[in-house]
Amino acid sequence: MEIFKDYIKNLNKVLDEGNKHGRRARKFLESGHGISGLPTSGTFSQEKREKKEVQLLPSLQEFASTLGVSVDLNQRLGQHPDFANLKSSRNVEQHYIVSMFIDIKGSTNLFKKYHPGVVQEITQIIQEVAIHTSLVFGGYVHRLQGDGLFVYFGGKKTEKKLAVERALQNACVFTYFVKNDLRKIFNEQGVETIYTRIGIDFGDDDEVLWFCSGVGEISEVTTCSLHTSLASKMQNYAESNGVVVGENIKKFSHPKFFSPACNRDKSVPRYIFEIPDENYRYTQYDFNWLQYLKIQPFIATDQYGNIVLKSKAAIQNPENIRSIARRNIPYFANK
Amino acid sequence: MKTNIRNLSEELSIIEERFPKLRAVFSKSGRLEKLIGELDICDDEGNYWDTFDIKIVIPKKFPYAIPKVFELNGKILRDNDRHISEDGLCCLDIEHELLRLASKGISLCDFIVDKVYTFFANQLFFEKMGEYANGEYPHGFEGVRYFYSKKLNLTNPVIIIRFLKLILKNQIPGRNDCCPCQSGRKFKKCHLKSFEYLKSIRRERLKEDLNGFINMSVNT
Repeated sequence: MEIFKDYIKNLNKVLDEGNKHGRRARKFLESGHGISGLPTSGTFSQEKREKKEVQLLPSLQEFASTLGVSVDLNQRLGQHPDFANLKSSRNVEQHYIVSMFIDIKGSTNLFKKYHPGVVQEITQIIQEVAIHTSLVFGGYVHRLQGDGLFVYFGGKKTEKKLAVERALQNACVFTYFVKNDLRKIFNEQGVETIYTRIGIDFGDDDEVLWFCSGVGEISEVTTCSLHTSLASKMQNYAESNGVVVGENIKKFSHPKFFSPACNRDKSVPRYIFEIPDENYRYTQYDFNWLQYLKIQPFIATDQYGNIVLKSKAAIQNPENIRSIARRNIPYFANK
Repeated sequence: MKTNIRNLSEELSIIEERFPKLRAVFSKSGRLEKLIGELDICDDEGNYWDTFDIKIVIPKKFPYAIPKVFELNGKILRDNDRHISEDGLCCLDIEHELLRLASKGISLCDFIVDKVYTFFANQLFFEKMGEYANGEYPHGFEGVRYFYSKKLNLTNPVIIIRFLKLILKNQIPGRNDCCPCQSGRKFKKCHLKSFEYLKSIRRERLKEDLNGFINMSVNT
């Protein structure tokens, strides 16, 4: 997708550098010398990239502007700004939240071809995309987990429905990036592709407790909620480049985008959580993210149903639309 | 009858994938009444151009009748030269072409791709270039005459009248007979295809054409 083109450019640079050094690094490893003496990541590409990208890269920044979103780049892990008052306190607060786990899988395969310095650069860029995309959709990145992320959506000034919508949009856009943009680059390089799995759930005001977990500075403001736990659990049931959501999420959106995850794979349990004695059963659903993405106001689809970004900067060259237009010869009957 | 149509639910699921912002509306009896919503137009290079609010009204005799397409948000100037009526009815093509399509049974998805999408793309082309990408039919009966000339290679009204009368009387020449255009060539090597085309069009339309060409001959 056009919005990630600057990240893709960076990724291509890293892969190009990695390809130059990859063979040497492998031979070195095979010779049994260990990794000491191998080039540092700086040798590969660090000098060609900015330091860790704090700012959104221009293509994504432009997208954020199109959405009318101002991005908070000053977030700190483990301290949701709306609940920062709980830091170092023993108070608890009840408030709804949307929890999203984004897992990035398959990066281990990169070690087959690249030096760890290159792998680190690649995973760093992918994580940057994940973080920046979450920020654009108003997410709060609560925690980094390996290559993945745990993100909250919503807060005291955000309507529940909007928080859910933003989380779903984020899941769509990021999954599209991994499934299409990333796959294309990796295929070109002959590398096994990376994929993502996402789990999302919504816990209402009476289902989520905010509190400060930990001791002193070794602490974070976090949630205690069944639905936060379920988001993480559901992510495990998502297919490659798939998104699984809890039934609370479905309530906020059109049901046509959701189908019970067990319909895809009989080994996936229909209920992600149940208390049989209380007749409580909570269903997990596959989210049809591609179809949801297609109806977003910032997305257009071409005549074949392919995703196109509605960009203000789109070049409208009549020659590019001529072949479609010339199949029409309009007529006015004057009846 | 040989048809182009798929099962309607299959059609609608393809439409949902390709034109997801169009929503199907059904009558109480479950008949598809219309598709309504947004149609995005993008070019071959994947650039977005514009979005139109449209309504596609499905006739009761569908797929053997032509859907009507309306542009709802007034983006296209209501002007005969833009091939759109005051109420937004879009003149997608000359009726003969649409009738021929309907005679085989219209695939809704193909109709959107071939007739609706191209119409709106052509409108956007017109806005940039001040002309249509492949020309346009003249308004009214002149357009019909133009169609006979371009599509059927029939320019002489006397011959056209002869053709139409033969078709309406169901008097079709044999393949190896002389062509009724009096060119001296065999029918199969001359106007057979034009005849077959006209045969596929509704008789009311052909009668209308016949009257038009007769009037034209009288007036000239």
